[in-house]
Amino acid sequence: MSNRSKSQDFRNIYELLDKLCKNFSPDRHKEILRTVTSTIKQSQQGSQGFISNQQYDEAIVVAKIKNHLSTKSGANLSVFLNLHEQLSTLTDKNFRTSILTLLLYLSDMESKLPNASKHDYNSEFADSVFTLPIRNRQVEASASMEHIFQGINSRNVSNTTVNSENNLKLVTYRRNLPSSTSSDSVLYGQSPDPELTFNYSKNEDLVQEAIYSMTGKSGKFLKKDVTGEFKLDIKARNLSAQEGISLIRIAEIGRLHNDIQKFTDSNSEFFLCGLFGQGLISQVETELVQFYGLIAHLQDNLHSQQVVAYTTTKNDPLTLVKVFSILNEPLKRMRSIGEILQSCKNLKGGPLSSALYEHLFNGNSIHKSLAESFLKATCRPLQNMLSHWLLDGEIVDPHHEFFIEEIKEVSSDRLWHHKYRVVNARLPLFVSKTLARKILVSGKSINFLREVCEDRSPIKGREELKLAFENNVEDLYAPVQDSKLHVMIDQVYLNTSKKVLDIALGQYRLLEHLQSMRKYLLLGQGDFINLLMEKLKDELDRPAKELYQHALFSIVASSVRATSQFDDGEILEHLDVKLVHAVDGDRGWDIFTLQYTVHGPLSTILELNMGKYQELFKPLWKAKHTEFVLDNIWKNQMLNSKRMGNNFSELSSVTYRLQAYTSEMIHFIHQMQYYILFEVIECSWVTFIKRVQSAKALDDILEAHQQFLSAVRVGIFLDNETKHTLYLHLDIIYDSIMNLEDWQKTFYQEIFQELEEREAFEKAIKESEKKGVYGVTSEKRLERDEHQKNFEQTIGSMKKSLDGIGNNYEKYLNDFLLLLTSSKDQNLQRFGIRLDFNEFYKRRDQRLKHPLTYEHMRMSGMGTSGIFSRSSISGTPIRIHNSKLH
Amino acid sequence: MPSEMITLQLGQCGNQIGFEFWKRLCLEHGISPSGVLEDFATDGSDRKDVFFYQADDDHYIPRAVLLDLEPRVINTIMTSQYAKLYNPENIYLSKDGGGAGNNWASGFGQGEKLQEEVFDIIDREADGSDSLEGFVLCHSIAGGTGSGMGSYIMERLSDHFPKKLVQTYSVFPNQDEISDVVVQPYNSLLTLRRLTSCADCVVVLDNTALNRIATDRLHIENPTFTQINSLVSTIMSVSTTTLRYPSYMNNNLIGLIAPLIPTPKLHFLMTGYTPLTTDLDVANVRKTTVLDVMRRLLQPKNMMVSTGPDKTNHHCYISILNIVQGEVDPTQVHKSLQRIRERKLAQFIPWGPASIQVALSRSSPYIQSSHRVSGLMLANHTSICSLFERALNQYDKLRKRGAFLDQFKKEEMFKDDLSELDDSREVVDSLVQEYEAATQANYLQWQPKRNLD
Repeated sequence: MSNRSKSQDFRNIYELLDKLCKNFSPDRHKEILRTVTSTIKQSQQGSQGFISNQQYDEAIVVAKIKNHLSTKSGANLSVFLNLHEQLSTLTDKNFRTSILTLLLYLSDMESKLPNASKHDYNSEFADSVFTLPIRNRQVEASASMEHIFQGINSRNVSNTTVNSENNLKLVTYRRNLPSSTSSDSVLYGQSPDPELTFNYSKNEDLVQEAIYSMTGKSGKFLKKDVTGEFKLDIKARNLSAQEGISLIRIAEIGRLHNDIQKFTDSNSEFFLCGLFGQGLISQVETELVQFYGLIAHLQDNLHSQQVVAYTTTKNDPLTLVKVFSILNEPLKRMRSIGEILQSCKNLKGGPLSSALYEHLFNGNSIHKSLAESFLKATCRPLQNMLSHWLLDGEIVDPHHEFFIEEIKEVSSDRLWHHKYRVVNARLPLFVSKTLARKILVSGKSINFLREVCEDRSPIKGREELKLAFENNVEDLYAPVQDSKLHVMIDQVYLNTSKKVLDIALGQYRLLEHLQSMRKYLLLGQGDFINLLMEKLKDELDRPAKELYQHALFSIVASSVRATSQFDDGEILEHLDVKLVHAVDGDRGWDIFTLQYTVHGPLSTILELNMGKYQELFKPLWKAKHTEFVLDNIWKNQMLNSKRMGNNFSELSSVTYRLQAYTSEMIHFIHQMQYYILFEVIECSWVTFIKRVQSAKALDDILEAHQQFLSAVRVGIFLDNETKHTLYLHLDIIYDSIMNLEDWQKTFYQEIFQELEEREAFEKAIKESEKKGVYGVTSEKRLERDEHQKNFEQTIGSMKKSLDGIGNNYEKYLNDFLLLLTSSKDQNLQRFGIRLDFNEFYKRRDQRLKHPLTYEHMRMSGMGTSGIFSRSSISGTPIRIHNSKLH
Repeated sequence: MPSEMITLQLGQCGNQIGFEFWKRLCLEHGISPSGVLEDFATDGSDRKDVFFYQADDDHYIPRAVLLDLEPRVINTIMTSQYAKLYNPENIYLSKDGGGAGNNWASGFGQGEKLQEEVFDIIDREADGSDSLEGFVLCHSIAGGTGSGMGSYIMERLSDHFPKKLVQTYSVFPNQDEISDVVVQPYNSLLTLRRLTSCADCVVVLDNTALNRIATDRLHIENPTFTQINSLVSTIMSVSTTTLRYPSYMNNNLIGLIAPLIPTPKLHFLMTGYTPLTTDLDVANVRKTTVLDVMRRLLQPKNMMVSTGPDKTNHHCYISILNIVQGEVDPTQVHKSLQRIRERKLAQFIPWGPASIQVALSRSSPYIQSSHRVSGLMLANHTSICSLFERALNQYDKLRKRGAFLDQFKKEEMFKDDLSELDDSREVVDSLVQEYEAATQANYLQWQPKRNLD
């Protein structure tokens, strides 16, 4: 410390003293001041560098005083602590330490000062300021200190510097302590007659030995072994068993001290890293300082005992037993600290606080309160992190301890799903997953609002929240999760979530977009899809490679315009055509997909789902296309049958077969569409909308949306279980329908060519009849017959290929039905039943009679329980009627 | 504007039910009698353009062509508050105004004469639509204009618009009362032939059943035309509801009728509606569920066709489509189907897969329905042939006596011979046979007994 600052200290103290003296005794203040300063001067001469306070840290001094007082009265201690606290708000640390050191000296000096000066002090100072009774020289320093405090209390003096004023004298002596006790050799050497003073000095020796061991130092009798355990040395053979045991016991605290210290030593392997660890260390150090205070106090007592020993017999000498009894309480404390710290070994961040948290449930109250104070200290950084995160969305976490992690590489357009995550390994035990999720969402929401929505308005009640956070850190690990802090976190969560939700649903119209996606990507708007297919037919019938995206898009755009009355412009900003990569032989139908792109904040929310929609679009599109093809097949049959009139009645077996296959397929595709679009999509959508309406946070909606998509995915046979069975069959079924389309085209071409020829032939006959020429030449007749024969042959072979298509279709349909009815999924079973409502297939396929159809299960008694209990559609079980069947 | 439908209203009956139909559509879409959109209906998500088009002045105009040979009904329409709704150019009244005298042959003949003017109107109307799906014809089969002129127009439509579907709402005469039109059996038979060979889908509206329903179920002693027609307009509007309020399925005519009609000739559909109430009959409203609706729709008493008792109990459903409106819990649909299947409430054909299809439809937000759930059934049932058999029998009785043929012989078509009648009988008989055959498992091997050549 520089001279300049020293002198500054002097001046400060002097001014302070002056002010105080004036305060207490305005008329005699100069006199008192002089006495006080001379006292100080005197003591300063006796000891060197009294002002230099490097040697005593404030905490140590406070600990000493505390120890001092605690041996007397708990009330005094609390008074002191109270005053000290007030003092610390008024003064800076160095200054305060000086004052406290002074006080400590004064309190000790009282017993040491010569009579005269003591008297001076009492008569001039105490009389005027306090009603301090005159004590004899034997009065212990602590006693006088006690009285001083009583005096302060009785006068209700609130100015705390009074304390230091009155104790000036007491402190001075203390300064000598370290120098006088620093070398034990001197002490032992000083003993003139070992025989005479044996008992006495042996006792002191042992006590000194004990005191050394307490700080973890080896002494004469006690040696540290490799494990850090203290063992009695060979020199201790002279000691009685009781003394040995006492020493060993006292030495335990030394070992504990060493163990504990390891955790606070930055060079040690046990050093607790990170902010959490620092928090813990600071609290452990506070505990250690208290412990050092105790040691200092013991050493003091021992020393004064040694000084006094030559003149008079001490009433109450410090013995090993006494030391041991004094140490009783601290030993328990140290054990607990040791145990707690052991469990924190090599931990940091969340796990560290979890480890401490577990100690809260210890039945031992000392242990518990220690754990509480440690946890509190450890949670300070966590609280700080939480408050930054929850209120500003910032992560302040230099040591990777916070249980929320930001992934730096992720750009803000993927913010919502990927940028932040909860690191479960760092999650403290007392923070539940739900709470962690809420915390995550809160901060994420703030970031989302700021970065993506560019909304920087602060969240509601930010300042109050901040305050609440700072004052309620203990609530974080409160046994019941509804403390003020939890309420606060909930509040923040709800506030930010609500804001994000409102913005997403309001400003960015999330729900409308989802509705549009359902309408356009999941083919929810039938009239649009019908029109689109109609218009795209010519384009998409061509090979995939000949397609141009822009040409297709203009068709999509015109279809949107034609079918939506209000929102076409808006929708066309989002709707787009995407052609997936074509494989050889693909037609336009195979590679065409619709895409819905969202911009701005919603894109970060919905980006995950775009691929899913893409996946769902294809099978839906194919089903719809098949329906569209079948509708046209049917329409052509109707129209052509009118055109054919009563000609070709000989072909009725072929046309009936064709029509029967067609109506089978139409029945199938309509049931299929009904199942997909209604039972799967619509029913899942209803569930989704219900959840949207009750959503409290954006994630509720997103999760519901996710579930909606998964339900649809399962429903249209895209999950792993059905993808390779049902979906594959479905594909073949669709393909055979496409084959039928081609077949029918050729069939009617043949027919109408034949019809034309027949009509031309008839016409020629009629015309020649009119002209009166003889009808047709035999040549022409022959040619006609030839053609007719060819036609009949063609039709004959076509009939065979029709049966081929039909048989193939029915084969796979039967397999499909078998898969459905034997499926474990109730919905699929029901769908199977619906596809064969009149048991047409069941009558024809033996296999279908046996699988677990509804009747089968009912008859076998399985139906009454459980069969309808699980249902993604309803959830309400269907009552099974046992009434007689008609 | 895709899948437009043009409505052709023919004759007294056709114009009356058409009038009721448009009234109903206007109500449902929030269009005022003068064709202007009501203030409360400006943001609907309905599709008005299937049946209406928008004129330059934002008037909604029905895609309807009104044809008659005598002015009475059309005059009534034109003096009603709905006069301004229609495009006046689409109203065609024969200049001589004498009507067809309840004579099919006269109607047919006049149709032929007036075809150019009539098809001018139809062509113009067809040109006004983007992708016309088909025509809806409203007429009666017993009178003169609707049956005769209707028959002629049907024949021409399939030549003129070979790619368009023709659907008809055909009113069959009441068998319970003695008609004052003595040649009704001839008219019916001749029209039935065209309905069989020229239409793609015929919705049979049986006056016998409609009157019975009015008296027995609605307790109206002497049901008026208006009351009967309101039943008809309900059927017509509900059966088009999935076209006008599109959702994910059955959004065009073909999607609606293709699953119902497996082979070209079997295209005569019955309808049923529940719950049946009149305006005065509010107390009768019951808490209906989907199951109630679906079960009641299978009861003959709710059918709008009187098929007579099926003594041999062999008739069956070829297909069923239930259009259900109202507060429908989606889960109930499946339950109901399950129940119906379990109790075998409906008998289906043995020669192909068939089931009850369900179309859940939105309904107009502007009409307050007193029913929670209501349903319309469109069914293809083989017992419809009893109607044709009845028509054949009546024809045969008349024909055996050679009664009232003079009126027909006056017309061009029957001047030389009556083969047209014989041919028609043949076609209708063949239709009856086909429906009978459709009850059998070997229907697909069926061939008409005699061919017309």
